[in-house]
Amino acid sequence: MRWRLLPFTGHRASVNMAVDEAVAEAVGLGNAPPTIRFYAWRPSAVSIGRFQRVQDEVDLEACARMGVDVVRRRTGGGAVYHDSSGEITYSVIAPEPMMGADILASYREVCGWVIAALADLGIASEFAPINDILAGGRKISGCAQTRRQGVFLQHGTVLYDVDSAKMFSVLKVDPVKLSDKALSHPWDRVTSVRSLTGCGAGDLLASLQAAFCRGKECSGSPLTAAESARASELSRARYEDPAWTFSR
Amino acid sequence: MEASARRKIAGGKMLSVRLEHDGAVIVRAEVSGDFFMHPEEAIDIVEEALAGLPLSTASKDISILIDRVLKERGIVAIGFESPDLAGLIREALE
Repeated sequence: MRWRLLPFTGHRASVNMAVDEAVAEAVGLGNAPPTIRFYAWRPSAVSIGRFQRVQDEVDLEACARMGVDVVRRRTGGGAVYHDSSGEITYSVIAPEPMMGADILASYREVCGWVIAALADLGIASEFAPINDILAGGRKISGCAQTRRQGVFLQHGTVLYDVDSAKMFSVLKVDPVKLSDKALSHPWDRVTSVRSLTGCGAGDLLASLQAAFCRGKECSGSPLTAAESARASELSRARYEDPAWTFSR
Repeated sequence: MEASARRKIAGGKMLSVRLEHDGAVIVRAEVSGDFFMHPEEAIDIVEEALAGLPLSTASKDISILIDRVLKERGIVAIGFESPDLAGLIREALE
């Protein structure tokens, strides 16, 4: 089946999450082909998992002070700081049968595309179940997956250039979470493409696009007008709504 | 009255419970963390199933209840298993 590669875009947090949902709906209705998307968060934002409590994970005062958006994802998983120039986020949205019923196997498959992209840049990395990729034992990519109404959606982030000070001033790090980790300082647990290779963000994007499309029939085309309109609606109705963001 | 507990599940995810109880039964339960659940809305079903549970319920029986709800409703939880959540509820109550 032919895949669609959406053009790289940068949006605010609510729109980014709404686009993923709008595309998933369109794929579910048969109105859009399986889709690969790469995007940035402008301004920088924190996304939290579907089941997380905002107050446990995010320093809201620090976010407000630094102009960092906060959004609740529809997917589970943990809180992520998306620096506007420090990472590239991807989404893979496809009919569920294309990705298989085995959840862990599909995490491994899509993470394999990220690992291939990193390998093309000279970075050796490995899948760390459930949803991380490590390079030299440090996290360089994380992701989250959902399956709804017959549609598979996995989105994830690849760290390009980490601003540890900013990352850990907006994210609250729970000492309990570090209890079974070998490294005690959270900033020792992450690494980035730039620190490992010195290559540019454009190189990472090109490498990701190539690796994700490898072995697939893949053609670039934008969102349809209907998807854009639905994304605007979902952004307003769900992702900007404090009742959603602060639902737990 | 309120009770809560939080734990990093070994080989799994962060799991938190916040319970409201009246001294006899759990009145309201909130389960949060960085785990995954398919479908996501099913978290409401799990939380509702815990409401009404007598505070004296043994961990094993809470686990059986959670397991039954997950299986009956086709809910998949990733990052914790039923005994993990049951144990955390007991920990919160004790």
